[in-house]
Amino acid sequence: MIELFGMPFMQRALIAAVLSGLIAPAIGTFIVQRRMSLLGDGLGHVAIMGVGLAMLTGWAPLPVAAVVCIAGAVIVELLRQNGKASGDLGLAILFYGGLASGVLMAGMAGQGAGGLSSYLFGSLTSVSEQDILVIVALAVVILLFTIGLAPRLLAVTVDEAYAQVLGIRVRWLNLLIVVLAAVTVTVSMRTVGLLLVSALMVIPVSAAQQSFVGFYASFFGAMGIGVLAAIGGTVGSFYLDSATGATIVVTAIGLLGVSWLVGGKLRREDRFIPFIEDHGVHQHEPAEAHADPVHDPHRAEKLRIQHGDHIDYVHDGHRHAVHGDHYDEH
Amino acid sequence: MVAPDLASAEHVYVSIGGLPILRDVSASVRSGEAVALLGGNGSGKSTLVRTLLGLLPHQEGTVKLFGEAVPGFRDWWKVGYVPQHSAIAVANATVWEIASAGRLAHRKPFQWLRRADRDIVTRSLEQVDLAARAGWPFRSLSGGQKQRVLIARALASEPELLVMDEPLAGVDLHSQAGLATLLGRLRDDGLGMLVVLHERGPMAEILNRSVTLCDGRVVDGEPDFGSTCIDEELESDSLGLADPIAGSIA
Repeated sequence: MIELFGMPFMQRALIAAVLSGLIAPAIGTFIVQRRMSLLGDGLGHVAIMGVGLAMLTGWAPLPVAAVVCIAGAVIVELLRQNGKASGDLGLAILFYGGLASGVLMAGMAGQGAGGLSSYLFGSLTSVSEQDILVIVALAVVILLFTIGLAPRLLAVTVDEAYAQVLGIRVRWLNLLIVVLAAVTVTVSMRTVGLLLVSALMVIPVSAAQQSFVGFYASFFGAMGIGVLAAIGGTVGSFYLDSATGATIVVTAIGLLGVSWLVGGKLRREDRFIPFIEDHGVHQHEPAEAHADPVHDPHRAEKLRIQHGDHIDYVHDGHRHAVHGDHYDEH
Repeated sequence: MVAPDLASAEHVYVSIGGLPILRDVSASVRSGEAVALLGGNGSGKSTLVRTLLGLLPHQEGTVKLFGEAVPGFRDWWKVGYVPQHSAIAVANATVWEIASAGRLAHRKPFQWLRRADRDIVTRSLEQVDLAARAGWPFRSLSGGQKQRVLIARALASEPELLVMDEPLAGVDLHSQAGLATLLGRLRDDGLGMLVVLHERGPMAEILNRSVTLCDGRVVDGEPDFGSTCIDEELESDSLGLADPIAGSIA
């Protein structure tokens, strides 16, 4: 294990993977809240066009893919803002146009679809020192915007009209979200790969929402889960000799499964008792006899309802309220 | 000098996608009064509110907030907008996190909330009697409680005008009375209010006056709830359904 971290290419791969695990859920939180979970997937397809263009021209793939992907993201968002994207049709044309033209250009460059594969699924060994510098710089920018503007981005994604009435520049922030998503996609193409990056934007967010109460707890929790998945997947892929991106995503799905199992306990959801107004009109109707109301199993009933000023316990599908030495039907 | 109206529309025309929605509408809210905006579905009351808030452009006439023309108005903290609670779908943001958005009107981008901002958010939640629920997920609340959180969010910007879109929609009857009491208290504290309502219901006691919209125009008098605001006879005549029973026999 120790010698693993001593290898320079492994160090670079880990740095790149950890940064992907950090930034993908950071921007993903807002994308999920905006109900555009598949945006990352579409932008990944657009980035393939950038990679193809880079192969054709011989330019560095990362900057070219970033520029193409940002342009695609801006077009998609402007279409959405102006109500021009009829259904998903405009988006689909852009995305599949990106994929097709990317494969076409890669083929013309003599690389074929095979040459694209390290970008589609990520590749540990292909992260160069120059790549690392670009990745670190872009990741810092993304974290600065997502964390620094989190309150505003939350307000915009939760309730656009209200945010606008607050004087927040909604259109610009919406553009910022898709541009940051585009940058995240290209930063992650070496680690998780363009086809799977969307998973890292969505799955840790979902796992965190299962496990934490509150937006900020989930926001930072998702970044933590993303980093865990990235480290686990990168190390795992070395030993399993598997594709890095796929291993990271499978690890993330594993963490999501764990969050389903233990998340309810972590959130202690039973603290949040549903509330029903007490209209004060109850005929006195004692419930069926209970052995000992004070030490009654009712106290341990899972489902409770705050009924005005007291708690009703849901018991066999009806509500019981403590009344002196017995229970009443409510 | 007389203080300007909190919100005013003068001879406003609004079209959406070439379709005229509002025609020559004038309305205003003065300081300390609660004004109801009444009308049936499709009467244009939501469009008027969205126009007043600068969310929709108007083609003719003037729209002003606190004496300044919209668009161009800048002091957005003075306006507390309360949408319908059903418009808010959040995964797991807490009551406090939702309400604290109101303070953003006073903070620049990249400025996080200060202690003073946090105190104001807590105080706003106290005003709507939900301080004890501050750490709860917004999603777990009842309709009436959600509506109160959105009122607290609006109060957090320390506004002078509350604009509410059907605050009683999706709220049970008992909670409606509680909401009306709360809004009456806020009005007595000097807050101006514009309330979009389908019907007055429990709000009747706290309203100072009302503006009734019908088919995109301001009409005199009371809307006729339970039917359209258009003169019934005229409409049924024009449809040839004046006597539906006789028609069916023939």
